[in-house]
Amino acid sequence: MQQITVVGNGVAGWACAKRLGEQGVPVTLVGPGLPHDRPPLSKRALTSGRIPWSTSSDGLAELGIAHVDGMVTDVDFDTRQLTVATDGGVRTLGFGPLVWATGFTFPRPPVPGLDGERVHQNHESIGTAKLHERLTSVAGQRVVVIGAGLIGTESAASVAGMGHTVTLVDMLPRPLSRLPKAAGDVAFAALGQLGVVFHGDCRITAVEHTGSTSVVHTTTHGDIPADTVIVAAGFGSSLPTVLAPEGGLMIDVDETLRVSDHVDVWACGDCITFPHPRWGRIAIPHWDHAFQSGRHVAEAILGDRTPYVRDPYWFSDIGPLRLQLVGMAERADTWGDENGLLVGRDRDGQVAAVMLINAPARLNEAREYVAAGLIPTHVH
Amino acid sequence: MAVTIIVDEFACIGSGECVAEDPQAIALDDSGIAYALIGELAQERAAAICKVCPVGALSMAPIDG
Repeated sequence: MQQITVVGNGVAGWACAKRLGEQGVPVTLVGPGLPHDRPPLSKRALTSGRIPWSTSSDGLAELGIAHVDGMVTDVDFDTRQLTVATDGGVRTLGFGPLVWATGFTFPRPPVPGLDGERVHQNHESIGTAKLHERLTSVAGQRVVVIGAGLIGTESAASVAGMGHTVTLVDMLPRPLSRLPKAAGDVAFAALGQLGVVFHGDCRITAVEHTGSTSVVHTTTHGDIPADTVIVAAGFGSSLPTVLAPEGGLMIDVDETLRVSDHVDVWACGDCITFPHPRWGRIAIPHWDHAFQSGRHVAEAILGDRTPYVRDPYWFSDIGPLRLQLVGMAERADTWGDENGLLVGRDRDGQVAAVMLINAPARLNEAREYVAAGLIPTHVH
Repeated sequence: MAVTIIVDEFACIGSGECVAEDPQAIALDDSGIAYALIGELAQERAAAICKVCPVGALSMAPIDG
């Protein structure tokens, strides 16, 4: 089989490259650093400083995966060449069959003082290691976490567990505001038990750094002093214009995750929308989809034509609180307790999503509920 | 043959697939990391649990005697 080039070494790219390598397919994997997993970066890896590497240089070699340590900055589908920025300079790389798996970027919000090295991010290995070092350098720090999505909320809980005094702020009214209200409510309670102060509807105007301390200036909650500031807000496109005009975040792929506008190009992970048989064209920016879609692309390249039909699933740990959600919460019109599960039903009364709160044993049951919603009521 | 499940806690990402497979045998701690609830399992049962881990964080070791 031809050499497969996988661009992006996050969860999706690594899942694809690994599966291909296991099947004896030669792979070139392009991405900065070694592949590593993401969920622990706001939890165990943050508190322990130990990065969850998915493999090593030797491990890549054993799978027959050639690693190009750099970032793809451009792609030319006419000449089939990638432009890659590496520590050694810019190089070009020819490609045959191509898998695009670059996920999102995490640009900092355009607030004065949020740029620069004094403000930390922990969405990848280097930033997490640096933040761990900072948090373990001095005990009892005042830490401000900006952004109460999953990463920010998990990080706030983890940092509080390290003995620091944590303030979590967000421009929306409650933690996990983009998720079902029940998730935000239980997250808010869990954060409170950990001593995390949450400021919702917070408007930050600037972050000022003086000596070893910082001040987060807000128009809503006054000035918040901090020894360490973490930003976990915002994401952007990782895609070149040729794949996503006008800075689009996503590539549309078909049911086998193939990019229809180009020859022998597939895409997977956070940066795709795909046609789901029940939900229509959707994106699922979570670990499970990244992993499953990466594996699916590998199988597609190996000849399998099975459509990709994975239902959305995400999981989160906020201190002792375990949240899991199966299905499309945004399609649920009503939520209610059904047999101890929080079930969201769509306007036709079918199960659109099930949320588990501290009930990990019932994950497969939740999946069965959502899958049952796939059965059209008019078919007998 | 009786075996025990070994959890690589730094590889575990807390997907919860193992607990969904066999909640009587394995659980998640407050960090979302898997841990065995039962020290000694039949090999077949342990293998089923290990198999569903998407990142290969679970393995089996034989119990002596």
